[in-house]
Amino acid sequence: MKLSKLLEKTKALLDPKERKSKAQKKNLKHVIKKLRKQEKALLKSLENESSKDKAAKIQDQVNLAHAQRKKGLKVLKDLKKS
Amino acid sequence: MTAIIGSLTANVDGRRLAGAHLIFNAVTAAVAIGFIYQLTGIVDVISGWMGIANDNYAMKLAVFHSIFNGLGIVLMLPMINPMVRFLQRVIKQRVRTAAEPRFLNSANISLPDTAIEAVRMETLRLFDNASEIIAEGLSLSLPEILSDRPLDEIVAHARKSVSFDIDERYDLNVKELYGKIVEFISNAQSTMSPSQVDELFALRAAGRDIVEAIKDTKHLQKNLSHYFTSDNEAIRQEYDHIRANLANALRQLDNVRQQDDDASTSLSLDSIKIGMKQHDRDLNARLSTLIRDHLITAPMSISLMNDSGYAYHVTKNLVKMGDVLFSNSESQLREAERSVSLDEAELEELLQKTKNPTSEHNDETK
Repeated sequence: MKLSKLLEKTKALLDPKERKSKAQKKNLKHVIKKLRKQEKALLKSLENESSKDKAAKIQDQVNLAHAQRKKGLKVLKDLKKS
Repeated sequence: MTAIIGSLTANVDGRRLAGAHLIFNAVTAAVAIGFIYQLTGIVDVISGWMGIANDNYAMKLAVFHSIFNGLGIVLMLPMINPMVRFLQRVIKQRVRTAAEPRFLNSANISLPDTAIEAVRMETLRLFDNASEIIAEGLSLSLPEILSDRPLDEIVAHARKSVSFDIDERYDLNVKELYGKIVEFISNAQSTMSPSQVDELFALRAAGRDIVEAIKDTKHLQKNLSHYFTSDNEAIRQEYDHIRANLANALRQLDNVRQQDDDASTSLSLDSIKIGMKQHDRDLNARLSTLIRDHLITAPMSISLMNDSGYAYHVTKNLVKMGDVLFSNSESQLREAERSVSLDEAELEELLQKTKNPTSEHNDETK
């Protein structure tokens, strides 16, 4: 590794702002992963649901999880940019 | 003596057991001392039968101990019921009121993390007390709301208006406890870091949300108790919708409280918000038809609109409270969860899409 890159990495490690941003990204990724998992589980239960009313409710949940995940991805993108 | 010292911190049953232990030993010892010469003779006879040597005093002591315990059983067996009555009379169960704090004490005030957890637990109790008041305000029972029975069925069967003074119950079970929580927070924050103080303030705000929810329930109760027993079927149905929706919010909040770390709290809480928004929207759509078809009067429609607003605020406050109180994850992760939670405009947009599912599809295909 070049010295300049090494210095950059050390600086990032010692900078509290950088550390905070890294932790934020890590937590956000965790939440997005959790939402994706829940969305998949909901879609699976939607396939097996025979009642129309219950299926509509599950579909609403899927839409909500999807919207939250999309928002999370947008926040993550902004964090990466800054 | 060991049992008595051990029971000092035990609950009422533990203290009664220690009392029974003391009585058993004292009575048996008194009788044994009174008949000590006869007991010595019995020990010698039994030791002889068992082949224990005359000078083996350790074994003889063991035999004496067995006889002592056997004597105690024979003496105390007929006395069990009177002894139970005596102990229940002497060692009484300490009556705890709902407003009495269980977790706030001076010992944990100097330990920041413990103090925060104590405030969280106490605020959860505040929510439990408030949930009972809100459920009764809807003329429903909380255990039934939290059961697996369909809510429509529970609401349809609960046709008797529960008359109780919300203000009195609020003063008795909520106000006093909330006051103690606020006082504890004020005293605890001096030894805390800024982020810990923020956490305490968030818990204090959650308590305020609970109080607001009760106040809104009070406003709602006035018309609700009148209209859900009305002869007018249309207004009765509308108020039953409000009752079912609020009961559903309480049930879902309880589910959020019980759910494990794998589930997303923000997803569940947003789902409650969207449900209440949907109800408000549906009601507005039905309202004009109800008036136009003379199914309800104009004053009824105004009451209905106001009360739907109160119900909406009760839910909103409870969801805000749940966001602070029901998340077990650490503060940074909680912050990340909050950042994906949808705001009012985003929720509206999602509702719009749900209403017109084809429009989103069309947008995507364009």
